Amino acid sequence: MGYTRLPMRKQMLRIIFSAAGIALLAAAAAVLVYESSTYRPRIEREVQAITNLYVQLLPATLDFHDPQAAEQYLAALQFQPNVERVCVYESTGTWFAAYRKDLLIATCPQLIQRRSAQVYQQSRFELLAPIRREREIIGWLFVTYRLLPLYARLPQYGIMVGVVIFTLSVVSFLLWYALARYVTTPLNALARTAKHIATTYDYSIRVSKVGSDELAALTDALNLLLATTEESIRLRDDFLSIASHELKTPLTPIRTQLQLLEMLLQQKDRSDEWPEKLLRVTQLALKQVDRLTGLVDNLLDVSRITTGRLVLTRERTSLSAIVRESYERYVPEFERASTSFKASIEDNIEANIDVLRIEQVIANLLSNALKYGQNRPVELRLERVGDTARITVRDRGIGVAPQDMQRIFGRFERAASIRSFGGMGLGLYITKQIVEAHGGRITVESALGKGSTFVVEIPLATEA
Amino acid sequence: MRPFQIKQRFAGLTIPCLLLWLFVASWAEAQTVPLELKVKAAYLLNFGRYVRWPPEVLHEKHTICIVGPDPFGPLLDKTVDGREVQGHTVQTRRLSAHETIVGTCHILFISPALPLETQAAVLREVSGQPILTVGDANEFLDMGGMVKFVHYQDTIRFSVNLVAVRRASLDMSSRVLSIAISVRQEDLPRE
Repeated sequence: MGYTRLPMRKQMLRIIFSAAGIALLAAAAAVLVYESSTYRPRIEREVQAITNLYVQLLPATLDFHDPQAAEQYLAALQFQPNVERVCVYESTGTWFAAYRKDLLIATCPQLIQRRSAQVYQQSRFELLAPIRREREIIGWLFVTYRLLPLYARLPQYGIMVGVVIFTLSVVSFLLWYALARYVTTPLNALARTAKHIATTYDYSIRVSKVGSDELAALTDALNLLLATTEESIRLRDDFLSIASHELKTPLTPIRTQLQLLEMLLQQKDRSDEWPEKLLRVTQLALKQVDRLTGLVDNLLDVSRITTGRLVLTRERTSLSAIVRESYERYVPEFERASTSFKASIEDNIEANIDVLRIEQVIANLLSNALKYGQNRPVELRLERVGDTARITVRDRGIGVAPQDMQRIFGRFERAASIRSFGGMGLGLYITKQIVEAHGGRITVESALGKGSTFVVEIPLATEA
Repeated sequence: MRPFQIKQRFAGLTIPCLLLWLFVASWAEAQTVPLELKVKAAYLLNFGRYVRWPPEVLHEKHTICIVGPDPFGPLLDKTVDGREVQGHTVQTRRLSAHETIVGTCHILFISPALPLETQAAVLREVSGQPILTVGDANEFLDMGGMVKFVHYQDTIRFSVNLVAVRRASLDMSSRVLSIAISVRQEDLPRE
C-alpha cells in the first residue's frame, strides 16, 4: 500500500529481492520435501549396497574360518559414519565377526531368526541377510544403520544454501542496478523535461526517445501533447489577434457616427434635412452595434459550447416556414449586394428543433455564402430526403481547398485570410455544434474557385 | 601273599586309575587331534570352491585325492559327504605314492607321513598339471607345492605358492589369497 510512496528504485529493489526470496524459499521447501521423501529409499539402497559387497567378500573368511580377515574387511566401514554395527554369524548362528563404529555401541545380539529381514527401529534401520556360497547359506550378515533426524541432515545443505543465497543476492543486486538504470534514467529525463516546460512555457521542446517500449510510448505521448498544446496556443494567439481586430472594427464607424451625431446636435442652423441626417447617422451606428453584438453573441455561444452549457429548447416546428422566413429576411441583403438569390423550399417539413438556433444556422450559412460568394448566384434549398430534412446552401464563390475541408469546422479556424475577409472564424464551428446537438450533421462539398455546397441534415419529427 | 595282596590292592587302585586315564586321554585325543584334522578336511573341501580348473579337466565328480598314509581316516569322507563343489559332487580317493595321479585328481593332499623325498617326487610328477597340491611339510612350498597348512595363533591357516598355482594353469580367487598367511608371488631360486 505504502509501496507507491517509495522511489521507484526502492520499489524495484524490494520486488526483485522479494521474488528472489520467494524463489529461495520455494527451492528450500522443495529440497526439504525431496530429502524427507527420499531418505528411507536412499538409506535402504545404501545398506543394500554395503550388504551386497560383504556378502561377496565374506564367504571365504567363513569357509576358512578367518574372523580376523572378516573384521579387516569390515573395518573399511569406518568411512561410512552412519553404519553403527555389522555382525557376521556362521550358518549355525554362532557369532563370527563384528564391526562396531565405537565401543559405546552394544555388542552383537544373538541371532534369533534366520531369514532375510529389514526393520526400522526408532532411530535405526536394521537389515539381516544370508551369506551364500552358491545356494548354500554359510552365514548371516546383520547391519545396523543409524537414521539421522531431518534437522541433523540439514547442515549438509547449509553451505549449498549459503552459496545460493549469496549468488542470488549478487545477481538480484546487479539485476536491480541494471533495471533501475534502464527504467528510471529515461523517466527522470522525462520528468526533468516536463518540469522545464512547465517553468519556461517553451512548448517547442521535444523529448528524444530511445527504443520502442512503454517508455518510448510515454515519450511519444508527451511529444504529441506538446505538439497539440503548441498548436492550441497558436490558435488561441491567432484568435486573440483576430477577435480583437474584429471587435475593434465596428468601434471606429460607431465612434465616427457618434461624433457626426454630436456635430449634428450642436448645429444651430438646422435645415430641413437635419432630422433625416440624424436618423441615418443613428441607423448606421446601430448597424455597427448590431454587428458588435453579433460578434459577442458568437463568443458567448463558443463559451457555452465549450463549457457544455449549450441548451436547446426544442419544439415541433415547421422547418419549411423557418427556412422561408430566413430566405425572405436575407433577400434585401442579397439585393443590396446585387447577387442572385434563389430558394426552393419544400412544404410541410417538420422537425423538433430550437427555432432560434436553426435560424442562426441558416443565417450563418447564408452570410458565409454572401461573404465568400463573389456576388455569384446563391441557392437555398429545403427538401425531404428519407427521414431527414436537408438544407442546402450553394454558392459559386472562392470555394474551399480540399486540405481545409475538415479544418473549417474547427474553433477559431478560417480557410480564407483575415486580410480579405472579416469574421472570427467561429461561425461554422457554432453551426456544426448546433446541428450536431440536434442529432444532425453538416457536410461540405467544394472545389477551389468553383464554390461550396453546405448540406445540413436534421432528423424529421417522428409522426406522433 | 602279602606283596601280591599289596599288588592286588595296588592293582585294585591302578586299574580304575589306568582306565580313567585312558578314558580321559582318549577323550582329549578325540577332542583335540580331530579338531585340527576336521579343520584341514573342511579346508580341503573348501579350497575347491575358490579355484578354477581348466575346462578340460572338469568331470562330473570333483575328486580330492590323498597320497600316502591317510591321516583323516573316515573324517574326510564324512566332511565331503553330500556336499557339492561348483556343482559337482565330491569324491575322495586314496592313492599310494607309486600310482598314477595325473588326470584323476583335482585336489591332491600329500600326506605328511611320506618322506620328504617321496613328497618331492610326487610333486615333480604332477608339476604343471592342473592339480591343486596341498601339504603339511615346512618345505612343501619350496618343493613346488601350492598350498601349505600352517599353525598360526592356535588356528590352522595356509600359505600359497601362487607361482606354482599359475604354472598349473589354475586360477585361485583373490578372496582366498587375501586370507592366506603368505602368498609367494615369484619363483625363488631352487636349491
